[in-house]
Amino acid sequence: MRPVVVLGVGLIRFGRYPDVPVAELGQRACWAALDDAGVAWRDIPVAYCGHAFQGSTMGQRVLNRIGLTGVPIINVENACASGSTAFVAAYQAVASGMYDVALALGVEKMSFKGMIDATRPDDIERPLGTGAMPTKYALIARRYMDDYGLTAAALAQVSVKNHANGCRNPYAQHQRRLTLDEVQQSRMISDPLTLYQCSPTGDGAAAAVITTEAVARQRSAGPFVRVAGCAVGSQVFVPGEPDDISEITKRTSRRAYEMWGGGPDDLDVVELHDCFTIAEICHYEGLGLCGEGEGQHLLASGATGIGGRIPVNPSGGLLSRGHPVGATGMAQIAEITWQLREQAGERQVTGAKAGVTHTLGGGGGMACAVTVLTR
Amino acid sequence: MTRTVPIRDGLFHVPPSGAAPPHLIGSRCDDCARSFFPSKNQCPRCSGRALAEIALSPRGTLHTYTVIHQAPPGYAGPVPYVVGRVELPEGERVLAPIVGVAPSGLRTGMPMELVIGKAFDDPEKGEVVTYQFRPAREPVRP
Repeated sequence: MRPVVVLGVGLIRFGRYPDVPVAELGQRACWAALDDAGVAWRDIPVAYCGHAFQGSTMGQRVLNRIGLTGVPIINVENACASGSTAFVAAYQAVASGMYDVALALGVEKMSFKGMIDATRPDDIERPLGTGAMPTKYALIARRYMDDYGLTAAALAQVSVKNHANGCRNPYAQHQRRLTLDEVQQSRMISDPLTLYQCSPTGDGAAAAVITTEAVARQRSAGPFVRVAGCAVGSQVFVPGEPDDISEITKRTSRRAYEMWGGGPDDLDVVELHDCFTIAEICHYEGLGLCGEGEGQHLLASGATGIGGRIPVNPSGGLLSRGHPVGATGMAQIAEITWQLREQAGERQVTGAKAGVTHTLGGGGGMACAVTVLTR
Repeated sequence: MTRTVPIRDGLFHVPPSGAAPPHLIGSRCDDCARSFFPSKNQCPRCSGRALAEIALSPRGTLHTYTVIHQAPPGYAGPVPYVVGRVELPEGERVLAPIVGVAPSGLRTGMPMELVIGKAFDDPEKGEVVTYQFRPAREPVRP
């Protein structure tokens, strides 16, 4: 495999764009990524588009607006991991030697949707009302609280941290600081998860241009943000746990770390899939930032705040930046790229040299994508 | 008498006139002996294709639960309502409505038993019934 670098990234602020077509949201993100890379669309030989709810040929609907160049456009769907899976597919295309440059895009418009239900129309879970995403994570939370003595207040603290970070991110959907009381007193959705412990649905798009290190060197002296490792995983059989989010995270992140030749202790910054507060606690452990059952202590120690030992979700994460699902993974790639280039403004993690992105898709753990970026 | 219809065929069996308690219909892999609910036609653990229908144990323990205050689309019952995962002796954890207990009385690990009860009223079909669990009225036998 050839060394691959991120040449440029771009995104639009996540939020609600009732008057802008989804294709134009994607177009704006592509403009930003192409401009950042200093590459013209006519010089891109292949593109991958991740989305979950936009119907057929979403990538073409975005990229045809930019120019009809006839290149392969490959649409990728992996639920909330669609954008991050598109990035891994683009990486494979360049690393393998098939293409020298690729564009990866994640785009979603879902402000028309309410709560995300993981069921299909004929699922038994639909009439029983058991299949909503907050329910799946509330069930995980209750068991975790009883197993490890996590309190409702400690759980809500995840949202307080991530909203404080999101206030420093001009691309975040919710740029509002929340107190612990506000998080805990917000409307109950699925006990113990209150409204502000659930990531907001919205609209968004993010994109990246990647190339080989050799091509990048012809353009500048660097330093470059390198794709050091990446992996996509699906489920294995875990007795009794159809929605296990931890096993898939452990296994997929270990594969990405192995490819990198590093480990959790070598990371400086993390963007992980905090779709609900409990998810961040579980993923500290799944990504190996701490031991099993120690997630709440890692949070309480301040280690995962900006300025801490291992800052997590400096962008605000899904809870504050927002979660237009197919765009989320690509927004994580953009955030880590900026962090490694020291372009993250008020939320900059000092001296970050290695960062990881992590997304999960599909009602618990159907798909997982992990990418390690270094410079 | 109200007409009752199961929410779906093949999920549970109610013996006539209370001869025995109701049970969930599952399947068991001939090769690796894992049991599943609902029934599967191939084992997701070992990919075995020979699975036999079994009557799952009507008792288990509450592995986890939540009180849902914001119902998802497609749900027509009362709100708030309780949903939990009940771990059966066969190893499967069944996601199901939890009835017969106030939220303050819920505890992980509590013994539970299967009941068949109303899910919602359908104006054309009648009373639609589903599998549910409630706190066990006598101790779970080992």
